[in-house]
Amino acid sequence: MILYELLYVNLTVGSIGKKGAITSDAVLIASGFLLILIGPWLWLGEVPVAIRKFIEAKTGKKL
Amino acid sequence: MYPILILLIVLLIYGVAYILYGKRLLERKIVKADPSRLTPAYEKFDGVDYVPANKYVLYGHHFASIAGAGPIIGPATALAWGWFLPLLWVLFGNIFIGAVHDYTAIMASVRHGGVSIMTISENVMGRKARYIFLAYVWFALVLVLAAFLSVASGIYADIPTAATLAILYMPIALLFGILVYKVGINVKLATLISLILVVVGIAYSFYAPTYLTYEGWVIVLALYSIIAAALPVWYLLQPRDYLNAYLLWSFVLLAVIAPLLLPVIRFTGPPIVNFVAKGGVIGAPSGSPPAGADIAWFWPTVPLTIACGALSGFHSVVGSGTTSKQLSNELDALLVGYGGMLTEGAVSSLAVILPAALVWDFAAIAQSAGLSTDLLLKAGLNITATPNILRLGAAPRFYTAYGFAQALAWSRLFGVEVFPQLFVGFRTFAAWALTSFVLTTLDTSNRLARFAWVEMFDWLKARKPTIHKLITNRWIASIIPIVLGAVMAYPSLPDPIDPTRVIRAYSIIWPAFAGTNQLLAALALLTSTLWVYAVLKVKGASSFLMLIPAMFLWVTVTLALIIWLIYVVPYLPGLYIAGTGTIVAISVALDFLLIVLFARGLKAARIK
Repeated sequence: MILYELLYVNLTVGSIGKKGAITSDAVLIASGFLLILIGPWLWLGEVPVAIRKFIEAKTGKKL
Repeated sequence: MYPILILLIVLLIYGVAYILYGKRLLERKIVKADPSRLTPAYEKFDGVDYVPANKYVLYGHHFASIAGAGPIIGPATALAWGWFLPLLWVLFGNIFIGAVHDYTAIMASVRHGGVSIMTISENVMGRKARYIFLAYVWFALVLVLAAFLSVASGIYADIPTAATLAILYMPIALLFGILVYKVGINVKLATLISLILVVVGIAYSFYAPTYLTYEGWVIVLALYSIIAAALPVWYLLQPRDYLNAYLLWSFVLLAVIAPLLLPVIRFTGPPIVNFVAKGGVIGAPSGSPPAGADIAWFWPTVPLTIACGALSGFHSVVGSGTTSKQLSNELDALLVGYGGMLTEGAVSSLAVILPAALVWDFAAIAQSAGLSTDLLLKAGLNITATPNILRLGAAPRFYTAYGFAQALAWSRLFGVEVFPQLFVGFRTFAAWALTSFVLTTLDTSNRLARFAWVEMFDWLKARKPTIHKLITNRWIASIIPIVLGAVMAYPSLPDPIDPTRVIRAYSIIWPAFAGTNQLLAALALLTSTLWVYAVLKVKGASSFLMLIPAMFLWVTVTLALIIWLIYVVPYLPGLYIAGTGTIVAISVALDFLLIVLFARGLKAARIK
């Protein structure tokens, strides 16, 4: 959604959304902005393996 | 007075303070930092809030979180006293109070499993102090959330290119985190890749405005704040704040370079204008009678004007909140806490006060630099209408002075004819630096409010474990404060002082924040002092080096608030008295209650 707005809508229209209004383009990029914060986290999981192994080595405890 | 002389004096003072006061006294003699002791980031590792961070990454986070608009707007407003008095307060407050306050808050928290300074107060001042302190801080954070939600929404609605940059910035920060933590690329390479992408993003955003209404942004940013505050720190908070710090560093570095390029140009501003300024300087709303009255005595009212640049209670909440939970080595705390605060002081002294002192009188500086009136007009500066810097509001005062000083310095290299273009470019950069930390503070404050909320309800854990689990859930605890903040940021109403103006609801109580924040600083420093005395058993001269500044701050802030209650509040419209006046009055009452608890704690520690 972000790429569509940045690479298509902005390049063809010259802006994303209209001043003083809530348009579908503005809603799309705002939704994309929020989803991109959650997406990779859901995909990657809470704790990266590298960090977990590092903590286990340092504390001697199994996580 | 030459700017280069002030620059060298300031850098020398900071260098000596870091080594002698910070490293030798605080780190080695008082706190006795031990690199072999495991920090809460390891002992209580949970992958969400307790995660060890590289010391430079953590320095970036801490610095970006404590440096909002405060170190810039405060000193710019305080120029009403002249440039020397604010500079003196920034240096004194920074070294002996602010940096000590931040460092000891971090270390006290680290030694108590990463809990907040408010919870630590229970060990030295009793259970009552802890819950008063926690509730006080939680409400203050809700107010901060309302203010920053409103400010950020206003900026993005008014400057749509800044909104696009914010949207682009987050995925870049996420990429940095993934490269470092998931792919395993070293920090330097990941930094280089990310900074290149940031530069591309800045360039692109100039051509891509994102339009959304103020109310639309309030909703989007409230949702953003919930997500960002509940997600693991390694995922967004650490990388985003680390990259942000580069922006502020380049901003400070340019401020250091400018005086070096201007070795023979003298300050045009007066060191001292007056020891008493108009009430507007201490937050009396413009148009009200106290705003034009001589009631702002430099001492004790200066902390109501200059906060973050010298000292701020919010820093102890950050230090004992997000920072202490990510510290991977006790020795890192000096750079992060003491160094972070000195850097913030450098923003105030070198990037705000020094340029203002230099370009204060526009006609005088133009004459000594050989700039014609036409050239200044081309840059948008009408020196007949605006003869000096005090004619501008606080924010324009800052970015005009910064832009002017930079343009003056760089036009020595590129030619005086490019002065107008340089001025416009650097002024925009300064305005951008001012607004770039708004989002950081927004989600860090929400995370801190969550920590305070969880600590506030720990008594419920043994009695009602199911209810405790539900209300301390990290998503629920992040939603509650931001919803309250949004409720105050969303609606608008006519300003009771000037009904032609429309203000947001939170503005009715926001003026109280300056005082309550500084009161929090005094109470946090008193708690740290007592912790050093009672828990670390540091007695004698070393303990007085903390106790005397702590008591001085308490007396200063209490007097300033009493002056504010007597001289400002009675002249405010009823709605302001009901909001701001009530909050300050309650704060002063709590202030006296907590000082009694402090005295009891001190007495008990002496008997032991």
